[in-house]
Amino acid sequence: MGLQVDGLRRSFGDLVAVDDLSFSVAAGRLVGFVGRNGAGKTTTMRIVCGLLSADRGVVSWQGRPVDSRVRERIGYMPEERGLYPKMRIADQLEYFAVLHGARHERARAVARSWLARLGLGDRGQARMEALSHGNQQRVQLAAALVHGPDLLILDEPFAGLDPIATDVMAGVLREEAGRGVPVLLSSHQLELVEQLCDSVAIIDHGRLVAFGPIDQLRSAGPRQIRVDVRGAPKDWTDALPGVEVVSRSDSRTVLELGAEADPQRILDAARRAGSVTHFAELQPSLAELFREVVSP
Amino acid sequence: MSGRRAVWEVARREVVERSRSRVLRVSVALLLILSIGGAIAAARLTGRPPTDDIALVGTRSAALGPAIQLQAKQEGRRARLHPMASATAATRSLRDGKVDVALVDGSRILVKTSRSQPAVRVVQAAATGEQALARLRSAGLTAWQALAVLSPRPLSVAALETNTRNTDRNRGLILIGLLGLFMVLIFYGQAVAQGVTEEKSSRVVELLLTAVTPRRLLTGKVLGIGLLGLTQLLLAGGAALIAGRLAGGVGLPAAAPTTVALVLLWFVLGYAFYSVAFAAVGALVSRQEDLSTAIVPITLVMTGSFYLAMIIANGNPDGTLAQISAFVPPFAPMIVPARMVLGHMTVLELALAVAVDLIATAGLIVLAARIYERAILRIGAPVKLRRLFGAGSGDSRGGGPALERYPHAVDIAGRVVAIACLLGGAAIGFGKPLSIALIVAGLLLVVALERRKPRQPHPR
Repeated sequence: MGLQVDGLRRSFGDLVAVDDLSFSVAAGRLVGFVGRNGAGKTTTMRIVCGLLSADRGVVSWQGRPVDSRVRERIGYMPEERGLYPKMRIADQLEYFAVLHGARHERARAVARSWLARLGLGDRGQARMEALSHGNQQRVQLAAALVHGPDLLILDEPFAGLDPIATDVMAGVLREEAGRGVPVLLSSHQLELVEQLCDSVAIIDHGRLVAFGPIDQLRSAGPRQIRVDVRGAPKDWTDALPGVEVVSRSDSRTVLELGAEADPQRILDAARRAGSVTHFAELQPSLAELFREVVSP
Repeated sequence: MSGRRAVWEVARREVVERSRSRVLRVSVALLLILSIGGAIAAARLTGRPPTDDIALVGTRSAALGPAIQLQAKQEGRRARLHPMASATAATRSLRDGKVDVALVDGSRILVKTSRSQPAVRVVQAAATGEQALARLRSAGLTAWQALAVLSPRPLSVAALETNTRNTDRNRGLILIGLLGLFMVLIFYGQAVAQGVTEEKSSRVVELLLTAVTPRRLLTGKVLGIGLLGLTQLLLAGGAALIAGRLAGGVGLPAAAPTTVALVLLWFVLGYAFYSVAFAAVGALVSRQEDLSTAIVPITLVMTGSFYLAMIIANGNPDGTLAQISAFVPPFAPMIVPARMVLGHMTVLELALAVAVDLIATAGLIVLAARIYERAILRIGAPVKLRRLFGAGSGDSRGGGPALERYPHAVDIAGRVVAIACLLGGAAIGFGKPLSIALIVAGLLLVVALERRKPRQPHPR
């Protein structure tokens, strides 16, 4: 069941920020939410978190419309980062856990363990403004997780992180998904999304243009195969049915396969023509896919 | 989480975090020192009749001593007599300020500067009285007859109502009470506005609102800060009453406990009224720098009602102006305590004023909460109220107003005029209508200039 977004629409004056948007995030799945700046990602996430109202459409959790009790169980990381600048970070985390329904003692303990986990164990009494940018990001992540949320909505969680912090963040998110939490995260780092996420939702001008498991999306286009054959004549592919040459250079050939094409027969033909050093299905990267579906 | 618990947790954070702040601690200590010092001063200083030091030179002056004492007592003063051997010694004492007046040979009065001070009056009256007595006796009257001529019985004056209210001491008391009320109201009201803007400018509000509804966040903040304000006033008022009792002297005026109770009651009511307005304004701006100009309309109304209370306390606390303004909600918190202590406002009228104030406050809370809810997530240029209730409400994309050409000379000239108005108003003396008009004009000019100023694009 997880999180279900159905026919969401929201406009600001004349600008339609989100238009008939539908997608879902199942339990334990990491879904990447990608789109250009201003595509409607933040608006969608704010609607899911109840910060904005939708003009139309429903956000539901486990089959029921999201209400304030469900929202209390969401862990949210806003795009515009910010906590109380002058408040001690251990106190802030405790406060956010308490606001989400935890008792004070428990909240304090969880806050302490998250700070230790994120390498800030000895900085609990520091004020937010005294921390470095990277450490502030870690506290921000802890603030989203400190109440043990059932659903994570993270707006650009990797923005501005160094490679080590990125690894820590990715590790934590995998772990949260591992305990069954659905995670929706937006990012412009498509390679990272490709590595980390199971599925992706691509949004353009407020509309969903692609949604599904990343592997499926990548293999949904025309099948392509790259073959490297040393010492083959130029016309070795001519006799193969349903095969079209996309590009050819020296020994490397990229083929697009039609319906009647058979990869095994292509491999056989290649071996007859010369010595094969590379034979693999060619899938577009998420970045290539993204450029293809999103209007320039 | 239940709504009540959310409100309580928000309030708790305000109390805990703010009581750590040095500004708050200093302000609590200052108000305590002021109220205790004021109470001790009020109890001791006003309790003693004023004393005049009078030098007497020569036997004829010394003979007037008893008459001077008697005369001083009649005027509600005390005379301390210093017999001196020579006029030179008396002159020296006068120059040194050891005596206020010297009587030389019962015929000449010497003073240092002022020829009309009370001590002169006392000596003058005693000396002329003695002269008249001597002349009457030389005209053949007996001592008793002469005294009877000199002390005609004054006409009796019967007051229909005894005036125990509108006395100088009570007025002093209520002025101090109102000043304390005004300071605490404005201090904690601004704290609410700053707290709201702080949450908005630091963006933490977006995280808060996923857990708490805007209305609960607003309620908790207002309650927490208000509790701190009430505690501060309770401390100051209680300390003043106890210090006044322990200080001896004539003690505090009888109206002191009533005054403290009224100030506390109207702090609660006034704070409820003003704090939500401050919160709404705080939600309209995204940066602390924009806040100081945005809250000017509120602080102007508060300052105006404080001035109005001063005028009423120093003038007629039962006049038409006083009677009407006691039922005008923004003014009531300052006016009603003044009228209750100095004038003849009845408990029924008090109840009515409270009721009117409560109704207005309820209305304002609804309006302010709506403004707060709609404005709190709009980051960027200050939100215009018109846009807030127009189409596309809930818009989180703030748009900056276009920069406009701004002639620098107008700005400087305006500022000079504003400062002249303010200084002129202060020079004429507070409480006079012209001074108030000048001060209000000056403040309005400042506001107008601030509003005309072009805003820099906001750094994101």
